[in-house]
Amino acid sequence: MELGVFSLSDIYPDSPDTAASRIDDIISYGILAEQHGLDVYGIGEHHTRQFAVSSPAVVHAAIARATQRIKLTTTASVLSVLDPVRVYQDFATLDLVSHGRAEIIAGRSAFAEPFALFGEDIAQLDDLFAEKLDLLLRLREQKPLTWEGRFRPPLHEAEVNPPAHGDLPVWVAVGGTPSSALRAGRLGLPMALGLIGGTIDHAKRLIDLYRSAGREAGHPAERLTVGITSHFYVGQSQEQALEEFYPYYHRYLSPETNGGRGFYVDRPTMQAMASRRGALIVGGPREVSEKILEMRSVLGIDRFLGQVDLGGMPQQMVRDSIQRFGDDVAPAVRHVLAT
Amino acid sequence: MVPSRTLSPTANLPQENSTMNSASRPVIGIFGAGKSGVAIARLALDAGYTVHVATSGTVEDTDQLLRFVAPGVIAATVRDLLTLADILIIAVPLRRFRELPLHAMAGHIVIDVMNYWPPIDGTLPDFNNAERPSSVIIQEALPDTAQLVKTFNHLGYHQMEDLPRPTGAPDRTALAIAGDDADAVETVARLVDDLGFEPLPAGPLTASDRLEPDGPVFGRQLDAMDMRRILQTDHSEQAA
Repeated sequence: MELGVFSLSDIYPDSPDTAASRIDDIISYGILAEQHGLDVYGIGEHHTRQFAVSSPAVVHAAIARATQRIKLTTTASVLSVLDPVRVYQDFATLDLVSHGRAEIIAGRSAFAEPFALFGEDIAQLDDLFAEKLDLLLRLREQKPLTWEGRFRPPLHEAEVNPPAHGDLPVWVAVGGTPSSALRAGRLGLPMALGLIGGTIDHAKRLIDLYRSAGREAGHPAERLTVGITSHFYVGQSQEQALEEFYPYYHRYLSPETNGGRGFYVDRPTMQAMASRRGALIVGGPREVSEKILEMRSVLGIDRFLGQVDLGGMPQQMVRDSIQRFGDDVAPAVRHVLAT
Repeated sequence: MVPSRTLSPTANLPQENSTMNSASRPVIGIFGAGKSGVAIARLALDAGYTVHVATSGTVEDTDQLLRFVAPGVIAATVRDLLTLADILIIAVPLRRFRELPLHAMAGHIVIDVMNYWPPIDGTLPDFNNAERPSSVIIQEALPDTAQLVKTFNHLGYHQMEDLPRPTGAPDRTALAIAGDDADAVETVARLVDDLGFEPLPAGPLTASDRLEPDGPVFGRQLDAMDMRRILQTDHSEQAA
């Protein structure tokens, strides 16, 4: 089972953070994650000033040259608005820079702004995503490609370079919409399920749908891989973790940091979300290990990625969380799974 | 104006065995199998209602999806939903509501679960700077005999899943219900009650901006007393 962390690169408005300082931090967290033995590091893609990273492949390239082993993924790429040819080129290049560690998690977008920015019609969201995903997957085959769609000019015997080092994994990001899980299963692509609020039971229904749709479409079970992402903090103990994490979580979820679409989480609600069946992975090393193992056993997940850096959490707090995850949680999880 | 075959005088009485009495309850038809549509479908099914769901996809796809996320809920075509259901629930993205057969909703109670939320949906010309609640614009797009009621829109789908409590429970979450027709609001209030929330009538559709994303109750887990107080305070501030 793969364990990793990711950042969406949010910049807390009332902090001294800038895009430059956040990018420095985010590169350092990727390197630290590898040093503490984690398997995957993810960077999100956003297109407003509230976030530092709009181009994750570029930031990952810096991490790639300071690491040797950790997989470099996106959480997630806003494929709905991008040209798949360019996405393929960027990540095939990252794959060469990192000697085969690049990966794409393709998402539809949780925000409206990218559509205006790239001149796509948000009303066509479903069709845009389906078509662009199709083209991206065809480009992975690395053969001269003849292709035609509705949203970009056709390709005729096109050679798109460079060829990636390996097979350049493409996952589908699913936020909770059942039809997205159905599509990911039918395509036989790995599914990255964002668990934000709700319970493990809710995730289980979507994962069951995904696996069933995949099997019905004839994909072998081992290709129907599932990853979970969740808000995340490993503290010294459960009590300390909740205490330390709460102020940052509260402001991260608030409408002020989310362009008006957030909400105010109170302490009891957060505590309920962090409970055994809840979606929030916040606790001491023991509780976090138990919860990841529970998700593994109930949901059969193959990967867990924690959003380690949110709401203006101080750098030391993020570093401590990564260190505890890598040094204490990961060995415990791997030990149990190996026995 | 619900077809009389489905509403009996017992429909609003406490029910010991919901399956036994389910025939007397209005049939629920939901447009949309997204997060909210599925959450409401599951709650209604648990409460003993017959629930049909239609999507923009094929009935086969909808059926495959429902088998996992809401087993027991019946997949239907958009057209069939109109004849099968007494209460229609619109739970599609607001940008797509005009794709529904709005003219054929005459005589139905229609629940509006949608929100105009530009950060997510983008800017919609019909609704942007409209200076009236989105539900009023939707009501205008419906036939005169369709009774639009706005509720469920101001709780997240996870909240809908986690917060239902039986009637009288001390920690019961309130759902505000806005609508112009008293009978329709009452019918929807019974549904809300059955689904595990405290129904709180919140005035006509022209006042439903208080349930919208920028309003004072959106996304908040409140009991009936707190919600009533907040809505009244907000209302008197607006009136002042």
